[in-house]
Amino acid sequence: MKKMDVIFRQVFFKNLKSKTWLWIVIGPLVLAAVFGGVFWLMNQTNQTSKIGVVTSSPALTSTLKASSDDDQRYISYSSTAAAKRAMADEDLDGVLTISTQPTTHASLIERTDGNGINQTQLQSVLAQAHTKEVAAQLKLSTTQLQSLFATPQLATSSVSVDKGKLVSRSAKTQKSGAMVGFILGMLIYTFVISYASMMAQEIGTEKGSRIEESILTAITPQAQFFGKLLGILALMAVQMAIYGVVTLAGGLLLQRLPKNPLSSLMTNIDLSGISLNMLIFSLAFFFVGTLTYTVLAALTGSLVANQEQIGQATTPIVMLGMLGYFGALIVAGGTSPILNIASYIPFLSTMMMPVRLGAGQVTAVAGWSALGINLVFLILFTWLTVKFYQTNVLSYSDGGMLKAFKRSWQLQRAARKPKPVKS
Amino acid sequence: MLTVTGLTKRFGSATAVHDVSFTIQPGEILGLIGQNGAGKTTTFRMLLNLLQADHGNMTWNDQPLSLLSRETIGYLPEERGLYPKMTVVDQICFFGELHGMKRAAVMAVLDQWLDQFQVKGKPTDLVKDLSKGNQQKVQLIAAMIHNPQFIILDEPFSGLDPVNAGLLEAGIRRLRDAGSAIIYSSHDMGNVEAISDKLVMLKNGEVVLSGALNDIRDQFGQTRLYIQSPLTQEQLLSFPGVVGVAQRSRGFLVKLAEPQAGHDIFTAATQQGYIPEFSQQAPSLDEIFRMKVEA
Repeated sequence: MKKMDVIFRQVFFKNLKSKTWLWIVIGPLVLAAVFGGVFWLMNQTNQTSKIGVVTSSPALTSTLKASSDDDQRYISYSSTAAAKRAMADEDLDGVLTISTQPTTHASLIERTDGNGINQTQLQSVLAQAHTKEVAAQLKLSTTQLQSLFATPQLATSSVSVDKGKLVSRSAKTQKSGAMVGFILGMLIYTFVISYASMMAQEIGTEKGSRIEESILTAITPQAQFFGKLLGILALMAVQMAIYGVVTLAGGLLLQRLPKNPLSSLMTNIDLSGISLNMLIFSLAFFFVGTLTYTVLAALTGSLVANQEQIGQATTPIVMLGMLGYFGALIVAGGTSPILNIASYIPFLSTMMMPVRLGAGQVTAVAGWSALGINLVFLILFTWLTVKFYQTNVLSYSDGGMLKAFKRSWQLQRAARKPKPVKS
Repeated sequence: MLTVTGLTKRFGSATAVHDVSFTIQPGEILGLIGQNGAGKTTTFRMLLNLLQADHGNMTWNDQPLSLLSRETIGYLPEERGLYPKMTVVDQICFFGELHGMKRAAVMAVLDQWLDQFQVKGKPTDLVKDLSKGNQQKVQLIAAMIHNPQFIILDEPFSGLDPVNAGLLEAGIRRLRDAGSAIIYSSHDMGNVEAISDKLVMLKNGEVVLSGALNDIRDQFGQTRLYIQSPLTQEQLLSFPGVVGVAQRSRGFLVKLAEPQAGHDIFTAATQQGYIPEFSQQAPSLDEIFRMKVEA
C-alpha cells in the first residue's frame, strides 16, 4: 500500500501540474462560457421590430395592432410620408402600406440596417385580416367563421413501458431527458478520451523510456497498475469537484443578475423529467464507463515498445469512444434492435444507455441491468488487464502492438505451466 | 550471501540461460561477462523476479531470494530511462521513496551523492536538460541511494568517459566496502579486471568461466611474454615452446606453449646484461574472453 501510494502521488501531482491536465479542465469551461456568451449575445440583439402601418381600413389597423407581440409591433400612421419620416429617424424598421380598393394589396419598405422583419408572420397576419374583412363583406357571423376555419386537432402524448404499465411522459420531458442524456454522453466521451489518453501516455512513456524496469524492481506490477489507476481517478474527481463548484458559483451568479441571460434556454428544459434515479444512474455509468476505458488504455499503453507507438495505443480507445458517441447521437433520435443490443455492450453502453434512459426508451430496470453488465465486465476486464500488464510492461516487440500482445499471451501461457523452481 | 544453483531459462525452443551457478558474499563484487545475447540480462531479470526461472534455486542467506525485500535491492538496467520532464531531485526522491526511504532522508544525503558522482547542474534542473553522461549518473544514484544490500548493475560503464567510469568504479567500491553484494555486467574487460573480486563468463547461456579473477588467469599459466631485448623476431620464434611472436611497440609479445619456455629466452636475452622489459604473465582477461568466445 505504501508503494502504491508513492505511485499514486507521483501520477496525481505530476499531472496536476501539467499543462495537459489544466487544458482538460479549462477547455470545456471555456467552451461552455463561449456558448453561453454567444447565446446571451444573440438574445440581447434580438429586439422587437417596429412596423408602421398605413391603411384606410380601421378593421385592418385594429387586426394588425392586435397581432403585435415581442417579435413584431405594428404602429398605425396616418400617411406614408409620416411613416417614412419616422423610419428616417430610425423609429421604425419598416413601413407597411395597405390599400383595400379594388382588392387588398400591401407593400413593405424594409430598412436594411434595422431589426429584421419576419415576413412569414406578416403574411399570416395579413391573411387573417383579409379573411376577417371578406367574412364581414359576406355577412358571416363569428361562429360561422370559426366553424369554417376549424381544423381537426391532433393531440400528442408520449408514454414509456415500465413493469408492464404505461407511464406517460410529456414531449417536453422526453426531450429534456434525451438532452440531459446526450449532454452526459458527450461529457463521458470527453472524460473518457482525456483520461484514457492520459493513462496510455503515462504507461507508454514509462515503458518507451525504459524506466519501467527500474520501477518494477521496487514495486509489483499490480501495485503500480492500481497506483496509477487511483492517481488518474483522483485527477478525474478533482475535475468533477471543480466543475461542481463552477456550476454552483455560476448558478448563484445568474440568480443575482437582474435578468437571467439563459432564461429562454431554461424554459425549453423540463428539469422535473430528470429524476434522482436517473442522476444516480448517470453518475454510476459515468464512473464505471470512464474506469473501463481507462483500464483499456492501461492495457494498450503497456503494449507499446517505444514512445512513437503511444499514438497507436490511444487509437482503439478513440475509435471505441467515437462508436459509442455516434451510437448515442443516433439513439437520441430513435432506436432499432441493433442499437438496443449495442446499448448493453460495454464501451458502447457507456454513452448510449444514459441517452436511452433519458429519452424514456428503456425502463430503470433495464438501465440498472446494463450498469450491472458493465460493472461485471469492468471487474473481469481489470483482472485480465492486470495479468497481461505484468508481462506486457517488460516485453518489447518492434512488430507493433498486435505482435506485442501475441508475445505477451505466449508468456502468459508459459507462466501458467507448473515450475519446479523452489525459490 | 546470494547463492544461485542450476538456473535455467528457456524461451520457446531457445535456451537463454542453462544451469548457471555462482555465489556472492556481502562485500564482494562479481563481474558477469559474455557476448551480447549470452544470457546476462536474462540472469539479472530472474534474480530480480521479473522473469520466472524454469529450473534452479536462488537463495539469499539460505532463504528464497524472492522473499528478500525489494527495498534492499538496487538495480541499474541496461536500457537507461528517466522521466525527462522531472527534476533531478524529484527523480531521485521518487526512487528513494519506492525503496522505502522518506523524502527527508533522501534530501539529507542527496548533495553528498551528487558530489561523489560530480553531477553537473543543479538538483532542481530538469533531467532532459542534463548531458547524457550526467543523466546516467543520476540514474545510478537513483539505483543506489537507498544503500541496498544486493546491487545489480547491467552494463553500468557503457557510455561513460574514462573520468566518469573512474567515478563509478569508486562508487561501486564504496558500496562493496559498506557490505553490499554486487553483481554487474560489462563488455569492458579493463573495468572488470579493475573492480571484480570474481567473475562468471557466459557463452550461449552456459558458464564457461567461473571463479576469482586471479585464479582464472592462473588457469591459463604465465604464457604471455612481453620483451624488449636485442633478440629479433626470427630468433624468438626459433626457441622451443614458442607458438607465436607479434610486434608490440618497441618489443614483442611472445606466446608460449608452457611457462617454462620463458627460462631459455630470459637467459639468451640477458647474455649481454640489462634489457628494458621482460614481463611473463598469464593472458589478460580480454585475451581469455576472446579465446573463450572463439573456442
